[in-house]
Amino acid sequence: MAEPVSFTSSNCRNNVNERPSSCDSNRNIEGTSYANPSPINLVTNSLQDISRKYDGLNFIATGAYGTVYKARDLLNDGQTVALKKVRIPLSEEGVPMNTIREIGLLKQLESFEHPNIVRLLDICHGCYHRPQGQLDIFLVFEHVEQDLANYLEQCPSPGLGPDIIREIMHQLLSGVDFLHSNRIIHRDLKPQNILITRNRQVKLADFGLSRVYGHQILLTPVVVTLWYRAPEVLLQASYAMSVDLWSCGCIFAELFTRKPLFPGKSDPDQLGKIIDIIGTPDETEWPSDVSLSWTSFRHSRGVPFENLIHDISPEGKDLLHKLLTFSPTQRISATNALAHPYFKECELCPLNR
Amino acid sequence: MASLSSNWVRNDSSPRVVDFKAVRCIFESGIKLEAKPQAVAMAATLYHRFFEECNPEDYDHYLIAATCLYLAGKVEENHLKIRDIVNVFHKAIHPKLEPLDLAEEYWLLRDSIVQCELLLLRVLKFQVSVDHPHRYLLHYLKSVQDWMAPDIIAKLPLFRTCWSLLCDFYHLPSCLCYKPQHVAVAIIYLALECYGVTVPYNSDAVLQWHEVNIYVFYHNFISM
Ligand SMILES: Nc1ncnc2c1ncn2[C@@H]1O[C@H](COP(=O)(O)OP(=O)(O)O)[C@@H](O)[C@H]1O
Ligand SMILES: [Mg+2]
Repeated sequence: MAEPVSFTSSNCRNNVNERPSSCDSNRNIEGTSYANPSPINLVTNSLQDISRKYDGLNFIATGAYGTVYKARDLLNDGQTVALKKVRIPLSEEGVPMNTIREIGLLKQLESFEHPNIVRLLDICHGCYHRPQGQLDIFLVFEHVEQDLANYLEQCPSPGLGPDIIREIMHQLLSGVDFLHSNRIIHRDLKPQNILITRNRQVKLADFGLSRVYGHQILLTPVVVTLWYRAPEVLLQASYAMSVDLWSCGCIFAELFTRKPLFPGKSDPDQLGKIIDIIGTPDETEWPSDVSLSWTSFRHSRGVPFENLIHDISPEGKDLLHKLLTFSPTQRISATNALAHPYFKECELCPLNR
Repeated sequence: MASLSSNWVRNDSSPRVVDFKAVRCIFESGIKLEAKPQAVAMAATLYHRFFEECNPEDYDHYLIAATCLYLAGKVEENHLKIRDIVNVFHKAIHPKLEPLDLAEEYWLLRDSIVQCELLLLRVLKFQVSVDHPHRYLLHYLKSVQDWMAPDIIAKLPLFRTCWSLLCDFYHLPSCLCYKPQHVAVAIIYLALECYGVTVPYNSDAVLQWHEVNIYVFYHNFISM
């Protein structure tokens, strides 16, 4: 029998950043290394490593916490994939429990193959930065042509039309309902995190890693958009799944007008814009123990939605009201939103049959 | 260069026996550390899944086993300290030796577990959630007991027997092959067989109470 492998730490510290000479470094994701004779490497031969499996990396986006690349999957006929690099902190205790649980949950969700969730095809280890105690992980997703932000930008006048809007909303809410039934709050639903395929299939992306990111500093000084944030998030009160339904409401309006409903510039400005449109909530609905008080906003009677969105139907307007309800406990749930009369003709949409 | 594995591995045994011993260490250590049953079952599952992917000859089975228990603690939100795992495993493998002092060997083992955790996650690709048979077992056992005469039930340590059988079940890689519901039913069936108890009205039923196809499982289990 072969000599058993020895797991000595002295081994692990050597050559951590060495690359195999056969590898074309231009094609490597920057910083990806093959940690050498450490135990991790023992699998490099039998299992695939990121640069070995994926080729021709093109940068797509640097978001708040991860960098997204487009690449070809060499083991699957060069199929295009999106790789998201996330850096996870390692401590003396190894990989943090939250990271393991969150990524594990993403893997488990994947087994349901929900049509409105972006497929997670693989998870690969990248560079191990031993001195900093950090490990790069690549989440490999199916590549989707566009996000909803691009899609709306490129949509010609006069806009999407009521049937397509209904179809997109139904898919969006189905995805959200699926996440919620698995106890995941998206927390950052916005057009940039909603992908849309050429056949107009909606797929949610960028969820489930909030505790992996934890208190990490942002990668880039990008301004995290406030436009889709629910009032209770802006007020830093406690929040729940209902925050996602607020975001769905903002997106619903944007599908009609192709511009953000509440383009705020700061937390108070964002709340001000919300109150201007939906009207001042009852004082009893204002969360207690928050820094911004009810009285700090001028009184507003609100603007009827049909003045802002001319082509919205009465059912659509009713659903929008139920989504953009100030009180999180009174806001409609994803399951109930899907059962709303607005969708009763939705059986006609081929995607939802 | 210090080799930890020469301490930990006995490479004179067949893979099956090594697996059996390593998983028994997981159970012994898990019990000593008062880990949740799901965490221990998870550790055994991770262990077998790892060796499904990797060549058993390349790894120190006890180190993998210890790491599986550590990782399973995190997966099941039942945090176990590395130090405790190192000590308890050391004791389980070398019952006659003195406990490890805080010397170099302890730190090497500790470091190895942290490294090995990364290896496990890499090999398993973070696929670390499992639907355990435990909750089904409890649920079904309750139903079966309600169905049977109370005086028979009172005489049998049915619960304890099922629990032991379930623990035994995790000692071989075949534990990966069955649905948790089927495992639960088969365990109860086997336990009842052990005591020669029959479920009332069973012969009148169109289907046997256990309905699922458990025979393959059953034979596999007996062969242990
Ligand atoms: N699977 C994918 N296919 C194509 N583009 C994607 C995919 N996933 C993300 N993107 C693009 O990359 C951007 C950032 O990705 P995201 O997962 O939202 O990361 P971040 O946490 O940095 O916001 C998205 O807004 C989207 O435009
Ligand atoms: Mg994003």
